Amino acid sequence: MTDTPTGLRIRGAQRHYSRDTAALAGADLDLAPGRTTALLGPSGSGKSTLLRAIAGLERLDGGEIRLGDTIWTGPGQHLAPEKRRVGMVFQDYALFPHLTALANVAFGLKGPDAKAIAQAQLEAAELGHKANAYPHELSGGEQQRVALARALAPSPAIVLLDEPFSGLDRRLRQDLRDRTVDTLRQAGATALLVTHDADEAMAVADALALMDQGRVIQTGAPEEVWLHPQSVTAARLLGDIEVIHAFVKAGAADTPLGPVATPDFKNGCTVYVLVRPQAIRLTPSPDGAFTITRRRSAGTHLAFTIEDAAGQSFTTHTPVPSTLAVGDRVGVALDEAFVTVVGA
Amino acid sequence: MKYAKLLAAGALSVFAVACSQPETGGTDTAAAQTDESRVVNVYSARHYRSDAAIFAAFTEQTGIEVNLIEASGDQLIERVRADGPRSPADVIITVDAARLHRAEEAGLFAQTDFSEFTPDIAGNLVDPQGYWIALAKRARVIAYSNQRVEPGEIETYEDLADPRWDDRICVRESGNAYNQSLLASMVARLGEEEAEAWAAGIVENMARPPQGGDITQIIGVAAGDCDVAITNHYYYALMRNSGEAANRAAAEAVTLFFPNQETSGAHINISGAGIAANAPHPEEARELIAFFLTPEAQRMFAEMTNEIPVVEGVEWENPTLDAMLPFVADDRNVSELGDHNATAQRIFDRVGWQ
Amino acid sequence: MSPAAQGRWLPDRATGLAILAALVCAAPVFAVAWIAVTGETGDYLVHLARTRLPVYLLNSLFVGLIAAGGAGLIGTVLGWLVARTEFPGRTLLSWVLILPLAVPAYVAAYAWLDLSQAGGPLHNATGGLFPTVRGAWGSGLMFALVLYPYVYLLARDTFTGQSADAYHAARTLGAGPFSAFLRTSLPMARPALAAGLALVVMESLADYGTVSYLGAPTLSIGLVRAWSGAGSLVDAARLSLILVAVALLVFGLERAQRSRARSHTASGRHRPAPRFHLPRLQGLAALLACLAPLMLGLVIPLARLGWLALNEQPAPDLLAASWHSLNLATISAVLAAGLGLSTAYALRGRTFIATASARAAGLGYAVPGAVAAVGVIAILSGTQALIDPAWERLTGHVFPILLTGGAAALIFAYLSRFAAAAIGPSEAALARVTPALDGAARTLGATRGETVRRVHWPLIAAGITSAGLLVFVEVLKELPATMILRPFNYDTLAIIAHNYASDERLGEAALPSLLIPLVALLPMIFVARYLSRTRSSSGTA
Repeated sequence: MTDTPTGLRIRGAQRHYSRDTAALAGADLDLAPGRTTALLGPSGSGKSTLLRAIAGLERLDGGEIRLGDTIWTGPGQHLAPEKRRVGMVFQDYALFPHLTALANVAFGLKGPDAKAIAQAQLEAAELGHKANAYPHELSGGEQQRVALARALAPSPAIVLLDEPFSGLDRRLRQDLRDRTVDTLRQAGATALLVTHDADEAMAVADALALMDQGRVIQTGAPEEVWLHPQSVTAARLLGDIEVIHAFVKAGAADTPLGPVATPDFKNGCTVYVLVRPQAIRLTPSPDGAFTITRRRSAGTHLAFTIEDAAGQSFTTHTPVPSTLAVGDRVGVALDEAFVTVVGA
Repeated sequence: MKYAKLLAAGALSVFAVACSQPETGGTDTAAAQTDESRVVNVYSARHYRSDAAIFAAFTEQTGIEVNLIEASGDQLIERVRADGPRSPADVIITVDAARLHRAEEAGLFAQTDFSEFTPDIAGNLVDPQGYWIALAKRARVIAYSNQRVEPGEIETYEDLADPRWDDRICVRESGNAYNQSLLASMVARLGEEEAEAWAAGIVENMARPPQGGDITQIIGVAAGDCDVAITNHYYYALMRNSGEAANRAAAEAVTLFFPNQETSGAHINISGAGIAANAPHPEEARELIAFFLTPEAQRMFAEMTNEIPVVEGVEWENPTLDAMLPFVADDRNVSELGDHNATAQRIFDRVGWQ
Repeated sequence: MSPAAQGRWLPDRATGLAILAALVCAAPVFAVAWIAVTGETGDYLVHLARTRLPVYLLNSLFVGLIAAGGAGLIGTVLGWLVARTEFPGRTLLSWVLILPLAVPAYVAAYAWLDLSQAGGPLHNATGGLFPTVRGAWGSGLMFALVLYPYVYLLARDTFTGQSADAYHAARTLGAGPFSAFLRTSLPMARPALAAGLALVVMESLADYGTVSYLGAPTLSIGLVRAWSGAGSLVDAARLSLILVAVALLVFGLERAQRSRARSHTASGRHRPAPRFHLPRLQGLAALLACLAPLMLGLVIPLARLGWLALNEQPAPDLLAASWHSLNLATISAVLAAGLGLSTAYALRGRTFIATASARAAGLGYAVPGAVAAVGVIAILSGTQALIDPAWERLTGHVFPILLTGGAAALIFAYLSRFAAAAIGPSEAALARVTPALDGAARTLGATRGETVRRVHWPLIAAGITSAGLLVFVEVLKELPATMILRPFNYDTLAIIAHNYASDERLGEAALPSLLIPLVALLPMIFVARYLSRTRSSSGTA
């Protein structure tokens, strides 16, 4: 339904709001055609700004955005939003309150078939029976689906979604997430979804991009980025992580949890050892270095907090079931698959 | 906390403003009055700021304070009527005989013996039954272009309906009381049918649809939009002596003409007064009316508003006014103007005089 | 979910009081209707129907259309520019644009006719090419120029509070800036714009001074002629019922059109639009667009009068009159704001009686001031006629207060006439307070009063203060009711200006006419600064 022979390229995007605050500080991003990319970052990282810049709703102070051969934003150039073929789903859906669902979806369509196409879109979203309802008569989830249908109806080159699930309850969110992913895939859309929720980002993305302080700090497949974060920030964005500041000695970083091989680093330099909680294996041991100080259930796993004699504590995830309890002495072993070392 | 203070201040001022009370008819204030606090309550349709000087002179001479409300004649009538026996009105003054007549019909006036004043006043300017008396006269006459109209071309009001004046007349809207009284006087003189024919003729001859007041019509003549205007005499006097050069020039471009000198006399209207039926201060009211008819006050009318005094033998300093006098005035009793006002309005409606 | 489904907002007593206040404001209109219905029947109306009534109706229609069209265009465009774009001078213009409201329409009419008539300076300077401002189109133009602030205020507040996302969504869907405005921002602002337009139309139709001077015989002129010419107050009251019927029609049409569509985003959460900087040329164009109505409606008429004033002496009692005007206007504004607020709250309950009394209170605006004053007199004298004998029987003395004697009667008339100007904006403002906010505040422990003060007020402050400001300016300008109901020796600026102007002594009318907008400037500055403080502190700047 969408035709995008080539993808979106962003290079060096810059946007300043005042002398000291830069919303975008040289962001680079590529959107592969037909794939959904998730842009993950904390509040203030500039992800919404980047989204709006792609849509043409914001200008850039520097850098370039191009779709294939067409420059959308560049030095001295700014293509108006209505001339770019972007569809956008806003955070609060931004449905036109004075129009019915059908009229909303048909808004971007021209020609005599507009209504029929819009109706078909609504049917595909299983909302055909609500075509004549006004937005305030629809539930949150229904509004989201109408918003997505409206964005997709004109067959846009790029689909942008700005935290599209944030206002919904957990079950609905999951359900909607799956539907959205399916819809986008069926449409063959090139999509960029912005979120601050790591789980959500990983669930929907074919490709993940991490953003912090106006820059894209890492991109890649979700599992890849999760397993091999390239910085402390990147690691923290995607979930619980223990960050251990350590020295490299004899080809390994010395950590309270044990030595970690550091083939890429010279002896004597400092590194951050990034340890996912899943990396820490606990074995009961009467003279283990650590004691369990807290035990918390998280459904699929147990989160133990372990503490050593020096008072350093770490969080670990252990699959259920486990007989370990608070007060047990344990020994630890690191599963290097879940450990990454980055430079300090 | 500061809101509470604000509210309190507000409430106090509301209270103060809202409860200011005049002395009203039906109370026993008349007995409680002392000499220092003599007042007279005046409801006046005259809206000339110069009246303040006349009232000030009155107060100085008699020590009576004047409480004044100015509004249009009909509005005053309605207010006095609604207040009924409790109305604080002592004197009701209008600028138009028809309103005076209406007030009389509504029973707002007390029958008064004006005989001590009437020797010096023309009989047609006093109500035969003694409900009201005229204070000053105004004539509704013609101003014509010096350049485009020869003296002697116009003799009467009736002339103006003639087709040779087609597209050459400027006159204000029919709702104006002065126009209504003019037409009423023609109804009284000529009968309804002829008056209607006249009005229709005027409408035919209008150079432009009515707009503005009398001064606008004179300016129209001076500017060449039309050749003849119908206006009250004092507007011309005002323009001649205006501080505004353009107005003076316009007045000099026209000649003021008093029609019907050989026939019925120029149409006049009056500013008149009567003592209210439920006046709480009837004595003071009478003194005020008496004052209006003194040479001093009559002179002020002539000099300040260019009105024509009703009392004969009064001297004044007003060369512009002098140039207009003497003229032959319509001597029908002005109360007839009130009799035919409603008819006049209907004629205006029928002929489409906007 | 409608607020009603949330349960009653106010305790019944407060709602009852609000409804009572609204009904009291509606009383004069009812009195006029009573006079019309119970008065003796004559044949003047039949005569009128055969002669001038069609002309009156036609002129009223033209005047209303031109006024509404002009004011709607000016107010909407300028409201949008000031709310959503940035251009040089925007901050100052944001509230200066309200000033023309302080110029009485008939003052503008006097000045413009004087300028443009044959023999006037504009006519002479252009060799007769400049058209004379007169007739229905001239009157409509005058109204558009001095009344557009009604629409402007409401448009500006609405566009400021409107979520930018809907507009941006339209842009991404292929609509250019103008098209997006037409298809999203404008329809979403329609209720507020309609409220403003309703005020413009009703004030234009109820006006007497302007249309009579410029020669556009509307229904209100026919009304005054029936009273003053034909001598029949009863027929005047009947004709004014036609105006009331027009007002009802206007209200009804607006309601019917609204149907189920809403004007606010469903989620209630919105991103206020950051202002869009206009490039240099367009910024200048925006500035000129703002200056044009100011020049035409405010600067040129007042300058002309000021010029004429140079040749004249200032009137002696202007200071006292200014004080009176200020007093009356302030008291009325505060009371009207309170009335508007309480009625808006009562309307939230969506009970029939609340809605009916609010609409009835708004009808006073449709009735020409002179007739409304008659209604007030009728009510007060009727009440007096009831109280006097009862009091006398009870106490043996005469009831000391003459109800029509003090300024209270005048303020009653003002409130009755201008309730619409207060209720409309208050209603629009309160509509922005969603039930979610109420719920949040209440669960956090705020009492009803606290919720109103700390949650509602910052959000609706703009609307309520605007409502108070509108009434303030209206009372400053008001003429017919003031003339007939004011106490002794109590002139206002409008009265003095009118007395001179109606005698065509424009030079002497100039100074009081200039003072009216100057006096209005004081609260405008105060309100503008208060509002910008409130708005920034509530985070919706």
